[in-house]
Amino acid sequence: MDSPSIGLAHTNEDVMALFSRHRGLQSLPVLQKDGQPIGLINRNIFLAAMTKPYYREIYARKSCLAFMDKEPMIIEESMPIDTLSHVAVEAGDKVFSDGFIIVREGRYSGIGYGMDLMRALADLQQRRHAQVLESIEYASIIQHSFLRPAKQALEDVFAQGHFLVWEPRDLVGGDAFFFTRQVDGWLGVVFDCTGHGVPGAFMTLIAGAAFERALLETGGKDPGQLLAVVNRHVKNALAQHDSDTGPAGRVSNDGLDAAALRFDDASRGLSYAGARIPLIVLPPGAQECEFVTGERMGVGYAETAHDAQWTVRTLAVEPGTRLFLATDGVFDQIGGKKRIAFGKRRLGQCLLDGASASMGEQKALFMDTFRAYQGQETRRDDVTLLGLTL
Amino acid sequence: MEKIHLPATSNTPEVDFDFQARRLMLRGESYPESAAAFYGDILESTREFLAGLVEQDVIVEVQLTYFNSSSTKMLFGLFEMLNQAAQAGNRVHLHWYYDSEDETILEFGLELREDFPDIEFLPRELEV
Repeated sequence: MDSPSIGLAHTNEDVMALFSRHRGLQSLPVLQKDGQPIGLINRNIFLAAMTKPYYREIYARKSCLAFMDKEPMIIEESMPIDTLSHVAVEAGDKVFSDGFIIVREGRYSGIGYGMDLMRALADLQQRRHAQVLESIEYASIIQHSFLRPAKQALEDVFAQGHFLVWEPRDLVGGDAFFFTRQVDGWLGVVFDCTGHGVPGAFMTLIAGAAFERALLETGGKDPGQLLAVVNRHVKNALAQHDSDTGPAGRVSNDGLDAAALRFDDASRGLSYAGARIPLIVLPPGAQECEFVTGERMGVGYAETAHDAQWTVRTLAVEPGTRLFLATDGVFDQIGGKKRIAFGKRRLGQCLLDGASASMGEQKALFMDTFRAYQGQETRRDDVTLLGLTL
Repeated sequence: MEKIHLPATSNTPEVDFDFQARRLMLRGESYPESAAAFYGDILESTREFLAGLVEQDVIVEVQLTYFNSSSTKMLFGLFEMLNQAAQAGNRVHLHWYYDSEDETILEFGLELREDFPDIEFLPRELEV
């Protein structure tokens, strides 16, 4: 940015000399004695004029103000790049062809060009992007840690008899799960909070804490009661019962879809309560997957009543039965030739195709099928699929 | 009333709400980062439009292939308004387009029919 300048008492001859000496010099600032800039001489305009017949003879000894732009863009050194870029765009083409004068407390300090501005903006953009990404990467470590106890409990209870696909779309997400071993069985939940990315991940923490509390309060034997208590906790946590508004006057209306399962070791009884997440049942030797649906009412949303109840369905399951819980990121993923949703039918078929394979192989088969279906399409949502063998 | 026309983007649908013609159309996919921000003005204008209708026919055409959960809530808001307009004596005809292999979209439509019985639900299967 450090660049030659010229005093206003100089002549065009002097300007010519400076331009010849500094070949790369695009614009020459003209300064008053005290260093205040009063204009900018553009190299191309100046040379084009001076090479016209007789111009040199007429203008060489005259004041250098003759070909000067009297209204160049002048900016203070302290102006932030963001502001500068807006000012530059408003000022128009001239800034990009002639550059702009930079002053410190009104005195000439240097000259900037369009390219410099572009470079500074690109750097700034990159720095900001890296900052956001680092922040989300760290959030992802927290979300992983938060899910670790549930993962560990799944390992302890099912070992090779389960698989889990948990793929947040944006490093962190709104899909999560909760699993705990009980003295006489186990309790497992897959849930999908509104939103994905950072807001979704916030919601998983609120919901996760609500499941913990609900487990303590209810004893965790009744999955329907569990969802009912979580509903109240989430509504309270987000104050979705009163008219308080958040930023931009917006009230939170967030909640979660969930499927809760409870298995009793002694009776081998399975009970399910669902809020928009179906239970997929695949008994050994079955010809198709059975989809058991719960309520269409979500958990914790403003429109869900404070005392809402979720029906419990009890199923007799023979040993070797596989259970699957999938979030809507699986069902709704766009792909295939027709660019339509993956859907229940395709998922059911894919799970059936892997019915006799090990859980690990079934997971791989699902991933291959799902990725192939997705093809070049972007992921639309967070994706979770939990598979359990009883 | 001014019509609303928004071209589709990668995560928002094409919106063509021609209030004068009483024809409202949504087509594409809907998963904006903030569905409330995207649908806010659209719903507001629609509310205003419906408030001024007396025993009229309204054609609603929806051809969506994907919508995230927050968009779903906004769509429910829209259908709730339409249902009320139908209860108030207007005739609302909902043309619900779905691909013959897309049971996800068809099922959503069928749920709408259940939830908003005053809207005339017209399933429209798209050619394979």
